Amino acid sequence: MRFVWRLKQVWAVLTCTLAIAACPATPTVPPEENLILKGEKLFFNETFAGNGRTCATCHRAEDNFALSPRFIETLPPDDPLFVAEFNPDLAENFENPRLIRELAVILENQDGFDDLANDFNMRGIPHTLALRTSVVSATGPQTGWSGDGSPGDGSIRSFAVGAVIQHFPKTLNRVADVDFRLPTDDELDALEAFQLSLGRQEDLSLPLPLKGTVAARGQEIFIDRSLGKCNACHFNAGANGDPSIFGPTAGNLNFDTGVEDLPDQPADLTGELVPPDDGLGSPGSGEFNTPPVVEAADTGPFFHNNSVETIEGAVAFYNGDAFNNSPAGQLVAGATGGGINLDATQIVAVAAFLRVINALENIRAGDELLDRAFPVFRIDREYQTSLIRRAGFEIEDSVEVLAGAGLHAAAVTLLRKAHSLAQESLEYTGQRRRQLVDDARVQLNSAKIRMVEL
Amino acid sequence: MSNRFFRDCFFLTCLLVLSGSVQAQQTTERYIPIGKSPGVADTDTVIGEIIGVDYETHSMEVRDSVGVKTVRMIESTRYFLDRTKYKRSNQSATMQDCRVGSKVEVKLRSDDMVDWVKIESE
Repeated sequence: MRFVWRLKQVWAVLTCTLAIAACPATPTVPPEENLILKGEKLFFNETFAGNGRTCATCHRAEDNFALSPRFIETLPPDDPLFVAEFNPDLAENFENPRLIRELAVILENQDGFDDLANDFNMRGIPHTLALRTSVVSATGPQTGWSGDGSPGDGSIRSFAVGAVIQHFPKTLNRVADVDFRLPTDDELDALEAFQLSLGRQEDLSLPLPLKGTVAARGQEIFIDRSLGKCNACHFNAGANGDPSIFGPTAGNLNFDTGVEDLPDQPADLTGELVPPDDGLGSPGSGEFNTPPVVEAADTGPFFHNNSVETIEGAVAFYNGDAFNNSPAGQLVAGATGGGINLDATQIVAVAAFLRVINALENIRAGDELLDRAFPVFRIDREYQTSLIRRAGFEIEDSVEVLAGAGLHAAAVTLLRKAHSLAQESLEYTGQRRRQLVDDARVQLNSAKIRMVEL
Repeated sequence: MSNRFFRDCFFLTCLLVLSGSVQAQQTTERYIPIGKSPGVADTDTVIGEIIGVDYETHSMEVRDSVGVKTVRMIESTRYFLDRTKYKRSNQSATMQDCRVGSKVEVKLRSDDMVDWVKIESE
């Protein structure tokens, strides 16, 4: 009897073991995804023992990892962005609160820290999207507005070290392990992985088979070497020089395009002290690096000093004296027999093209984020929610970018539906959430079909 | 677009490529303690003790664990006093602050000229 009971016990254990072994194992999170997740947590939460700011204080996921005055208006008064307003140690020479609030420009001591009251630049906050396509150049990594944003080896990996020193200190003494702590090597690896994971991972291949008449014409002007001439420096609407002009390894390039010479710049109009920004190096060359324009339409204001509010204005800049008299403008004029000279309809057409490719990128990014919310491996619900929320921001942007210029009304309707479904999914879990997200992705695809031949 | 434009642009690119080292940000470098500069400490830098300085020829001998290296400073070389160890704010410096016996970190460019020097100081 006792033997039979023992046999039953062994049988039960064996059965359970076999049953467990037969169950499909939950796939483990791939190492590269783990690094990105770690980097994401650091990017959004880590203050590096400083004044309370994180990377995401300025690079907001809700605002395309950049920062605009409109978004700043929604922040509470104790947001760490405004630390200079409530931390007495940072009240002087750390930021200009008025310029942050009105123009979303932050203070950078690009030329040194010896004369804090007079030697500084006021710069907008560039987005961190599509960095994988825009950082590489023949001269090494190009980071920040003028290509020299990172200390150490100048890489995107090192960028966080300089950012912590410039923007995170508790006091202007900026003593490591007193006013902040420097990121560790592991943290830099993770932050780099996360930043490189954001946005496009490769450039477009122009021309795209666009369906919108005006945007399609804008694309022609953009590419045309005797008309818009845009593609020479923004090859395939990215951030790199045309390899047929600048050589196969040129990558991202710096130019002095004369933005600093624009009259009536908003920051100057405020009457606040805004020293001229001399760009790359110290003393500077007047050059700034080329940003990708796929991401432009929803990441204004434009240029390093946020001097132009609209995408139409940014295109029109290349028509004006500031550009055409600049070293870059003169290079173009000398080579082509004249500066850039577009009429109003042509400016609007190029801007429409930029709006459409931006909306298409938002759709792609939104769809990818929704897909990532349901991976084959297990992710926690909070992270899933954050991915769906981020997808919502992308879809919302695509609506604004198109509707803002009366483009693709039918697609806008579908995008609004997609946004609504994604938002609704946040109220559910499990299969219902999954279904709503799948429905949102269908709407996104339908919107895309209305904008471009697939 | 004429051939001249192609030629000018290609020339510009070549100039950029040949103009020297990577475009790193040197101003925040001041606040990074000796041996902590990301991506360059222990690879592109020499950390050791100054055993000789020649202010006229702008050169300096630094002894590290491997041996003695003579380094040459140029006009664009930046100097920083690293006072982190004493919880004090780091400062800009000059070559005159490079003194025999001081601990330094020297960042070399690809052409072996000195990008920056960090001098440990109280």
